[in-house]
Amino acid sequence: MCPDWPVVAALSESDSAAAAPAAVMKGHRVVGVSVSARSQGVQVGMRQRDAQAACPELVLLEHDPGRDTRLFEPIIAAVEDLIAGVAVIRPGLAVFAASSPVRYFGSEDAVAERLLDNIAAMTDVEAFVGFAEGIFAAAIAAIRQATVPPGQTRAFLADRDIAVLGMPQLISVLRRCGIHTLGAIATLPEQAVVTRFGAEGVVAYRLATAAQETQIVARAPETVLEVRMELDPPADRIQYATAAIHTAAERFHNQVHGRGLVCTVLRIDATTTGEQLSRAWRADDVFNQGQVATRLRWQLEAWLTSSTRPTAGISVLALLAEQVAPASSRQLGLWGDTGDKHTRAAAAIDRVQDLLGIAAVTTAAPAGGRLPWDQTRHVVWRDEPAAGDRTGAPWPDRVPAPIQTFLSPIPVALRDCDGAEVQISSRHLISAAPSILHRPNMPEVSIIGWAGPWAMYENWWEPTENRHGAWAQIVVTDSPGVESALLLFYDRRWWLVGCYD
Amino acid sequence: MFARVSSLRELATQLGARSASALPTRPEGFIPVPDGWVGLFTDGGIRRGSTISVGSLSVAAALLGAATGAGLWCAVVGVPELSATAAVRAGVALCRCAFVTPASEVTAVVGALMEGVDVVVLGKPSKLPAVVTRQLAARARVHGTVVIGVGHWPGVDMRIRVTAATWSGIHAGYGRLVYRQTRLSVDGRRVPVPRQVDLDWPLDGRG
Repeated sequence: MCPDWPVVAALSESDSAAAAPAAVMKGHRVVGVSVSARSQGVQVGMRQRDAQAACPELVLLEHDPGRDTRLFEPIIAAVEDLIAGVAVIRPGLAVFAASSPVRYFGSEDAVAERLLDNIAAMTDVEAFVGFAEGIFAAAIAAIRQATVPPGQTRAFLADRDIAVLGMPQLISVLRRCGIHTLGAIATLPEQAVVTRFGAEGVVAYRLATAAQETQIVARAPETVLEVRMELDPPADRIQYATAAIHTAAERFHNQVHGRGLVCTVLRIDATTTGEQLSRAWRADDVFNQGQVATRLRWQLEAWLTSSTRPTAGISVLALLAEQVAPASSRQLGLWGDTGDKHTRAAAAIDRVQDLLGIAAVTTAAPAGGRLPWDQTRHVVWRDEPAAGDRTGAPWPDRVPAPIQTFLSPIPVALRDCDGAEVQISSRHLISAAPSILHRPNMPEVSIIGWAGPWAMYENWWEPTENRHGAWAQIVVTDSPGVESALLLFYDRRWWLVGCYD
Repeated sequence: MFARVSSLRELATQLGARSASALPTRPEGFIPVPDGWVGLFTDGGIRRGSTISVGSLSVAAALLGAATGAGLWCAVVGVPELSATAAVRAGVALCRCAFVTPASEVTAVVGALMEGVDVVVLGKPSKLPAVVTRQLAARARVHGTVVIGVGHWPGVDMRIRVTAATWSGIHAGYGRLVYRQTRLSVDGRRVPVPRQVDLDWPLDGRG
């Protein structure tokens, strides 16, 4: 493992000194801290201004899992030189089954020495190796370069501070109860932990008692569970592969899920002309559809942007389930994954995404644009929003978007007090004061206030694709559903764009 | 025969005990409401597990704004016409808000969301069969989720409606919509005494 990998990776690509106090930020929250920053009191989960107050010279770095994955690739390559069956859990942490390499090289220490030598020779990164039963214990052992003999895991974990669990809320409750070590948690009766601390408490208890291995019932699938996709044209940039990533993740999920299974270790294969790329990822819980897509995107981004990038685009993409578990079983979540991933809300939303398909669940973001329906951009849940947020840019002539903006505007008619249709001239002049709003299949309503017209002129520099029209706001009386509305005069008629109520 | 009954009873008690301990324990409590709205609710907020119907999206957005602003999670199911830009104006933290387009399994979707999300906004509840909405209301009570239906919803715990409104800033041919003076009313099955509150509600801001 490489401790604090997001910080190490980000620093290696920035101008700052490697020893500078640094923190990786995601949405004004600290998600990774360097050793020197930690010694000054900066902690994961802090708000940006608190972190800067604790350490004024803190270097702020951007969270970018794609970059972390790309820079972790050479280290995995160095490990794979010596050992087969390496699976990445997240950038900075990878696991392998130790029994065969230990038999081959003679002892755990020999394996660690060979590995560290090879990593040091091929990269300039400091890595750690540890051996223990269970991923949680092994990662803690790695920080100390330790080997935990079989059966001793619980004793090894007993002295560790509960901070290693990385569950801030639970940790603060435990501390107030006077529980400071994993050993203290392990001595509690399990039933009491369940009732007092809930689901998070159970995870902590199982980790502390090293009960992890009994939880995992993962095995190799009996039949080949594979999704193979041809990319035509071959993708040489991550942007060109986005659609394929989602389709592949969805098909893969359906195939695994259709057999009542969940995937715990996933192999991603990519073929270019003459080159084969492959990498295994292990879930810290089980993979859901969104997480498969995320891992796939990180990995492809890593391959396509690394210094040793393939000479041609990726033409075949394959997802292969290396290990599966029955869908009813859940592994323990790994500790220390900050951010919103493990909140119950995000997990519930993930499940809905599994149920309906990736594209059915989105988060919205305000986007730059003049037209109300351009001002909202929906991004697939868990997807990183595309770069180029132009909300801050000036948008002259922009009208405030109604809270209810119809996906397709409704054709309406405006009449003046004599019953004549109200029109807008090509010089944006209104023919008469509107007094009646007429909507399809609805009774007429009278207009008690109106403002406008304001010119709408989009793409005027394009001879054929320009659009021009005029906006107006109206207030009407006595109509269920519409009280104040935004209208657009376009193509010689009025359209109801939305309602402000 | 008796032995069998007693063993069934035992089984039932065991099962009961297990499902009771497996049930997620939601803190009893309230979700916050916008500042000027406190007078509408006897308890100063909306009790968790309530079902609410609102007449217009601006009311739903204001409630979402207060909830997400307090760090709660929301999901909007089947309301594609909700404008994100306008929602941000109403104070909604979009980072804690998911938008779901359900195909058919509304019950399954909303049920799954309730396990983690604090507020669910549901479009057109009157289009759902009454049995489905009753199921949803029951699950909302179990999980402590507040379900806000946009539109008519018979048998709902609480209705929040704008009963009178005057827009200011707009005249005959000049000005623009700036704010409205509204009267908000609350009534419904779980509201012993209907309440009203008058407030100035700017277009660019929460109520």
